[in-house]
Amino acid sequence: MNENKNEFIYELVDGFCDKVREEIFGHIKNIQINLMEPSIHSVFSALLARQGTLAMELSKAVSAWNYHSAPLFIRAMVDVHITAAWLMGDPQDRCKKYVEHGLGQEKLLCEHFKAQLTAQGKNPDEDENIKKLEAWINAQKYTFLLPVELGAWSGKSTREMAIECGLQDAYNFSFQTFSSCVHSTWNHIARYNAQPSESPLHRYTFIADMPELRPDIHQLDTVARRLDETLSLYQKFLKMPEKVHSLEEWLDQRLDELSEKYKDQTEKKES
Amino acid sequence: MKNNSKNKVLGDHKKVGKKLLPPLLHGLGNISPTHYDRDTLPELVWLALIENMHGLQIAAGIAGKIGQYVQDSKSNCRFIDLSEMHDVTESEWNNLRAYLETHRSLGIFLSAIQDFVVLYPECPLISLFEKPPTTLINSNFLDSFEKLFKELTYKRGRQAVLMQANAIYLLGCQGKLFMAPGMSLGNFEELKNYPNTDESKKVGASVCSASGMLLNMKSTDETSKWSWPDYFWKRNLDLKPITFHHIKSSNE
Repeated sequence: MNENKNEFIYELVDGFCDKVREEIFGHIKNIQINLMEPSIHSVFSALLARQGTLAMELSKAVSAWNYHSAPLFIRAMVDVHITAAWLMGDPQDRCKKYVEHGLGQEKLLCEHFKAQLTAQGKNPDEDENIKKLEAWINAQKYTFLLPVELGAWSGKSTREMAIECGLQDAYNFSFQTFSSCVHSTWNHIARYNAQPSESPLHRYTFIADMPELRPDIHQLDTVARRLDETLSLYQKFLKMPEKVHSLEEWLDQRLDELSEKYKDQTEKKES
Repeated sequence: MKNNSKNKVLGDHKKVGKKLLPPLLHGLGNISPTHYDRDTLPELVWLALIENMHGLQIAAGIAGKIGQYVQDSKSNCRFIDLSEMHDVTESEWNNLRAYLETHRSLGIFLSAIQDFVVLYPECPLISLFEKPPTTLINSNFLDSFEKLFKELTYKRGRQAVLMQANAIYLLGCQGKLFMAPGMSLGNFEELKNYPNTDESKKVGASVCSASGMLLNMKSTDETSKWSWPDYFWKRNLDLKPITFHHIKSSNE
């Protein structure tokens, strides 16, 4: 039975990943490339690819299909979704800002490395890693022309971005909820890494715990729903013909098919 | 145009810096809530032990006798919360013991608290015993006490309400609490029906809201004062340690 269970899972996950790749490809190929303003294409396609990667990585990590780990991925997916939606409001200006912020962070990191090497009595100009990092940045924008943004890349909080593009529910119910897992705030750890003592003599105090949660297919379902939302967002942005595609529906259907298939196999083996 | 501020999520809260304060907090400023489970319950638990072993009538009778003693002797201690009893002198304990003995209440009282003071030897009530007991009468006392304590943690449960009512009654018997005629709080008799009648629920609600005031609230300059709850909770960890063994074994 265990062998069957493994085969069932691998067949489901492999199929899911293929479907994710197919959908991401189908959308990315519709993003217009304008080499006069390359950051727009690069940013939107890479963000969508990132969404696909996050979905695939979590789907392949079956042991992470639980509330300890899945929200780490799913919150990142909601973040990608809000970022993409906000960028779509003014692609030219915002994509430029987005790229500049990322490069600025690398420049800052590079300067920290240099300061550390100098403090150690070394010459940072001779350091191969710094040379490579600077070359990577310079290939996109000269560091001497690159500002370093110390606040949020958009100049707004994620909440403000979400409200601006009508995604307040996604922020309130998904981003915020999963943030408690990402930041390990009390409302997460009190549920998943602690439990009240059973004794009133302990004042029912919360006691640390490390429960090993079983994989829960619901997490994969959530991933599919998140990806569906982002694909719909891109469809509207790219003015693609409305297509009733749904990874979530595909997943449900596939689960039914595989359940039937493996049920038959188990019955045959048993008889 | 309609004012939408009340329809907003947490619209009744006031924004102070980056915090949203609920009406009670921003209206009253700095308030320190009492903790029923942390402080009130351990302070009054001895009253529940009497009620648990001998019933409401006897428990109220003992509370009445103690109250009468306090009034007659003009004692500085109210004999309500255990922390306050810590400072009672040996001679006063002797006087109280003699008073209760004269009124044929001492034996009943001591039988209810003997196992408790064995397990919690720093309980001030140990001074009521001529010779401090060291062995349990009921070897399973800790388990049965834990069960009782569990009942008592629900402040509005029957046993918890009777315990708090006895404490208020004890204060009343000392002549330190006056109730206007018709107030629910004074109708202790009805509590025998708690929580099965509307009137008993009214009395119970009054008792619960009044019990918090019974305890001497610690002011900041009294932090070094001996605290029974501090001792009680620490002692519980000796009697029933938290082991964390479950962390070592897989508990899928």
